Amino acid sequence: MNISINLNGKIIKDDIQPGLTLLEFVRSHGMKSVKHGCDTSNCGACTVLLDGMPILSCSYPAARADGHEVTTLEGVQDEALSIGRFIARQGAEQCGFCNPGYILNTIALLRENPHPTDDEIREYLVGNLCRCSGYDGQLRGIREYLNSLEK
Amino acid sequence: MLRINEYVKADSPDEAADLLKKKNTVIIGGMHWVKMQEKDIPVAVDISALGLDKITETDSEFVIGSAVTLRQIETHIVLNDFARNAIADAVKGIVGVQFRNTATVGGSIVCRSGFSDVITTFLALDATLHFYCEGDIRLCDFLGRERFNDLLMSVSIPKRAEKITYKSVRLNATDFSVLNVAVALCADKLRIVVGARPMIAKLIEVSIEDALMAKENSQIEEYVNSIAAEYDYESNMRGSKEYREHLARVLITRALEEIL
Repeated sequence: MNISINLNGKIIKDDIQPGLTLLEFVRSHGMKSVKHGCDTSNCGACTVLLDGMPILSCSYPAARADGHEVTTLEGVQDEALSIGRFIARQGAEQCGFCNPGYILNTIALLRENPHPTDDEIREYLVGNLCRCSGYDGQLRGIREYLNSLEK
Repeated sequence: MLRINEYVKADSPDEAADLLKKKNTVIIGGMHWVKMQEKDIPVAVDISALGLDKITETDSEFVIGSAVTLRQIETHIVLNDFARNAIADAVKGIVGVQFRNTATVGGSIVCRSGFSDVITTFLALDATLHFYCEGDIRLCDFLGRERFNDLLMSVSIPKRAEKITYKSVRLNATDFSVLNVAVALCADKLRIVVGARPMIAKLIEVSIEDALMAKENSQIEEYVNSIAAEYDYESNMRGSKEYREHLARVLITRALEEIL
């Protein structure tokens, strides 16, 4: 079936298999930041923004994204880099596998709520699993990033 | 692994309902549970273009489209003002924001999963389901009916509950509930629902007078024990039958402390 998706600002037309997931679609078009993690809608490594809203691309049919905007980390590189630096400074990126999903979901959080409390950050990012850290490093990194914006 | 042979984005409820008459046709909601199955789906019906993603309010009820997401009911201010935040409390522990942005109310109900937090809460609120062919079915009746293949259009929640609260215990933040409880006060009745036992939620209605009398006479513990004993419990990997029965007593007590 034929679909057309605005992927990071570029219209991609493709003929896909009906059961293709959005994760497989974006990776096949070079967006390798989107990770194939648990494949059971649990880990958040496959997070993308669909019309600005964070979703799990491993469980989202590419066919449903037809006519919509999909953003991966590659599409918000400057923003991602500035947040990522603060997370790295806290030693919280380690293996790095969860980072793209983590940062993309952080971007979604800050667009929805520019001044989150620590509890609001925890609640929003609870669906992003990290097997290296204890999550406090990421929280400190995001807090430092937010503090830097206020200076 | 899930294999879909044909993917149809329905243009109208008529088209979706027609497709559902064919054997093994499946409606794709959030797709989280469908995807976990090892099977071939001849026809997957996508209902995302049917406009069923709205929450509307009338003088007497809230009408929630079946494609409304769990995140929508979590963040809907007016709905949660009415429900004293019980709906947000019920869904905010379901995986993460990304999951709740696509998991739908319809999918959460028609699957009739024992662990469902949505069913427990909506049952306490006396929700009615509106099916395209079968018409209106109260949720309490739907749960006892045999499975049928129909398009759920919307769910209505009457503005009858004066108070409602939701309680649950999870082993960790994003896991299924080990047990969940919702209690609503509607007129002179308490609607007490216990779910994830691990069987599907069950409703018991009791008189508010009896509950108040038990409270006045400092007999709440005995009163709650008698209510908790009316539900059946089983064991699974998340908890034993005995632990669940204990949790039911604790959570019903906490819920009644809020309501009474």
